[in-house]
Amino acid sequence: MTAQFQVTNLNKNFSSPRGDVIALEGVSFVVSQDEFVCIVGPSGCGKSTLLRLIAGLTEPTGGIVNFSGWLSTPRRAMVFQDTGLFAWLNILENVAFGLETQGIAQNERHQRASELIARMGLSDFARHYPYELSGGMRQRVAIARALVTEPDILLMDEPFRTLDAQTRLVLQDELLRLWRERPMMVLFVTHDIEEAILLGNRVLVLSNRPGHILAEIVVPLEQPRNLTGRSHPEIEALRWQIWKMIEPTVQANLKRAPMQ
Amino acid sequence: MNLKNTSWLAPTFFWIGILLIWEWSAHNGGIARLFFPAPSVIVAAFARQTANGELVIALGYTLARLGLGLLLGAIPGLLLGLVMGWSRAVRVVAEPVVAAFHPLPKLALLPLVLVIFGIGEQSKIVMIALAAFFPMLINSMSGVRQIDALTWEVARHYNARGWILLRRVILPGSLPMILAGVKLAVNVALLITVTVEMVTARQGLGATIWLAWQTLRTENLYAALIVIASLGLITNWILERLTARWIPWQSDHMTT
Repeated sequence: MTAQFQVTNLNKNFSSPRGDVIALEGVSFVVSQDEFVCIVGPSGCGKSTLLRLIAGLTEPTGGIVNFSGWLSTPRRAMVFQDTGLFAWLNILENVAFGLETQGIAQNERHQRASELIARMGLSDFARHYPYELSGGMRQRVAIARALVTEPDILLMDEPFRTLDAQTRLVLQDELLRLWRERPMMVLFVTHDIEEAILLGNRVLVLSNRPGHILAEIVVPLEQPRNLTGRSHPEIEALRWQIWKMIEPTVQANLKRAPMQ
Repeated sequence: MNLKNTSWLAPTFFWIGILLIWEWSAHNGGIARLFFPAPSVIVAAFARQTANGELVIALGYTLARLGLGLLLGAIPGLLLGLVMGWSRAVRVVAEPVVAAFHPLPKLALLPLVLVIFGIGEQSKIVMIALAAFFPMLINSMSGVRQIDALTWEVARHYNARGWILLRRVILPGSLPMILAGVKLAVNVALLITVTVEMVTARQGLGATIWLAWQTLRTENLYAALIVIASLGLITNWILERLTARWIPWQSDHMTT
């Protein structure tokens, strides 16, 4: 049996002074080892909540998050939306942070962090502070910080959202390369339909509120993918298909007050 | 320094001009010499009292009290502030007491402190420590509390605990506010030191000023003021430098 990760009938409610908000309702899906799965949905549909539940950063109101077939509990590492780099640590120390908390000695953790920083093409910036780097470089550092812990499951919460289109394309390519070099399970949350199709082997379409899975779509593109020279007619069709699914939600969103 | 930059010229000449007018007026009866002795007289008094050691000894007393009071007040303030910022339970218990004592002008406690600790050095140190304690506590507590939610989440995600959490997240995350607290504590402690010395001390810069006033030796009073003002300037300058050195990740400090 291959190692997998399974959520069954997941529910999550938030209490607020104006009553409870059901963020997720009856979410079930399975992801196998080394699969790259994208979760796409309109803003406010509970995508981030879903990821935080899987990361163990918050507890579900109901339902089960289950890891089966692993030798031990799989290591999960999250890449946060706004990087969450520590402003007061230089790049090397930021990347090594996840190793430091595991009690790994400075020599080893700096060596491992340096290797990953080199793979991300940031060796010249190891001693710089985050504010000295561009947005794209900072997001690379955030990815390196997650990867250095050698996770079994990489959780990514709209990591490229704030980047410009060209930088995003480069980082998407890099991410796929890193994933091919060292396969792992990736759960990638995005509101960008095209990004979801280009990156994922499979796309889960989430609707809001309460967030639930509208469809599971297998992307018919072969890996390795070449994102820069792309011209795939099937992408356009898929994009249209997914958009048709979430359009009513987006329309409804525009007519109601935001959650916060 | 850029030698071609002449922007310092105008203000320098302006203030030299003011001093010259002051000097001239003092000698020609334009202003009351008793209140505003001529700058040359003040400088002479300053030089004389520095040479005979009076000012140096007074400065020594003031610095010793200031330093000891700061250590005894600011360090507990820092520690309690960090704990209160970190732990909600401690904050809930301690906050009402802090809220009640913090706005109280600490000088109002002087008679009580004198009754409890006597007229000697102890009561002076206690007053200075009290004054330094609260700004340090408030700032380090707010320093921890303003660390943003994402930072805490990242720390939790990577299982940061204990010493690593303190050293890598809590201390550096609150350091800018802690250093601002140190600055506040030093300034208010200096204020209290001089005041308490005026009222209860025979030595120290505050006592020097008070004695000069009582004997109407205003030039001595001004000489002591020069020392106190310099003390304030120098400590603030040192703290600015330390802030720039210890918080290299704040870009506005990178220009120096």
